[in-house]
Amino acid sequence: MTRSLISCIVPVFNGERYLSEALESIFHQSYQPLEVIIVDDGSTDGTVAVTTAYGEKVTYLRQDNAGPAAARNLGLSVAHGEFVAFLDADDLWHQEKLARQMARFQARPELEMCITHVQNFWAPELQTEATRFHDRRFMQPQPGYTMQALLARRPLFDRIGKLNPALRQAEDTDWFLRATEQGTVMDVLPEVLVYRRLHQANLTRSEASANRQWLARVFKASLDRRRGSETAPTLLKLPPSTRPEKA
Amino acid sequence: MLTPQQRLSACEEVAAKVIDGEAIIINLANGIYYSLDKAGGMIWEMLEAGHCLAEAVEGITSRYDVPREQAQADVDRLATELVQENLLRIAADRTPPRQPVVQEAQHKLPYETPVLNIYRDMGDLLALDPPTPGFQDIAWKEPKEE
Repeated sequence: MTRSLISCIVPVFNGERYLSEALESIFHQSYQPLEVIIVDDGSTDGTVAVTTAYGEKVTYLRQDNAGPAAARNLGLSVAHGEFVAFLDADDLWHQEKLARQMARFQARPELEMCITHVQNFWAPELQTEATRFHDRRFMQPQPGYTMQALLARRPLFDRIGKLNPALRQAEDTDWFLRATEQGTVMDVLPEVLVYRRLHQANLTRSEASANRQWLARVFKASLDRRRGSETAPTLLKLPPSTRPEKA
Repeated sequence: MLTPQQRLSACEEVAAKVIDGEAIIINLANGIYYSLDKAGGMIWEMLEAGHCLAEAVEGITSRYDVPREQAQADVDRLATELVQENLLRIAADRTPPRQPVVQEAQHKLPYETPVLNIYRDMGDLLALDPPTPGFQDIAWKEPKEE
């Protein structure tokens, strides 16, 4: 029986520091076949050199800096797989991530998307923060409503739409809201299969007050869509997230 | 109980923006989000900017066709609710905003009692990556069960 191809899309902007680790976590996946698409969002560091070392194992695309949404969309436009997944250049997948998600699709043919639980972890230079925030909720495994944890049937992006490139932040949240509004059949695996690195660059992004403004815009847009729709419920329903398990 | 001269400010855990007259407020600590439109949006905007409750009443009666007593009762009720939901807090040392209360409108808008719409359906959506200023103390709190 022919196995479905999964397109793994890696948007990157100045990601030379961790990109190799991310790519290796893709190449070490127990599930095959995969195609790896790197979308360079106008990097000015050594990102190109890192990708060159992988030769024909990866498809490399480059665009002028336009944000992560535009980069992921460019990857989608060239993806050949029946399924698509995304990994940020500073994050990691567990070796069994794709295999376990595909097993869920095989068990539930009606499933359109699947996420896993995600564990945030600190870069070594942020030990002060690691100590300070060790008991915070976001340091516990959480359901990964984020592109890094997603595996989706490729046609879902035709139905829901791609990521909104006008959003420089909160683009993931916007997409998951749209998917939920349209009744997407989704599942949440209880295992932690994605590891999200917290380091200075993405902390700066997270801290920006603009991030909060974008989030409010995204929720406003979601409410407006629901009010204007005859089918979308006012209150949405996410799948239940069971207690996370170690993979 | 809040007093007319009290000033409030947004809690640290809050992301909020007024868009097309509707206030969208997100409690980043638990993922509960809220909306307030029309007079409610204006009340939020004024209180969040640092106007005291009495100034908010003046603003509402300047723009909307509403008896002062009803406006005062609604401002009091809504402000109390916003404090109870941990969206606004009493800020005793807050200075008045530079922008004055709105001018009396020539044609006042019809008034509807403001309602704080509460949405508890997206708690998991923000649990992994709540935007935090200075990545400081926003402890994730489970929404209280109703």
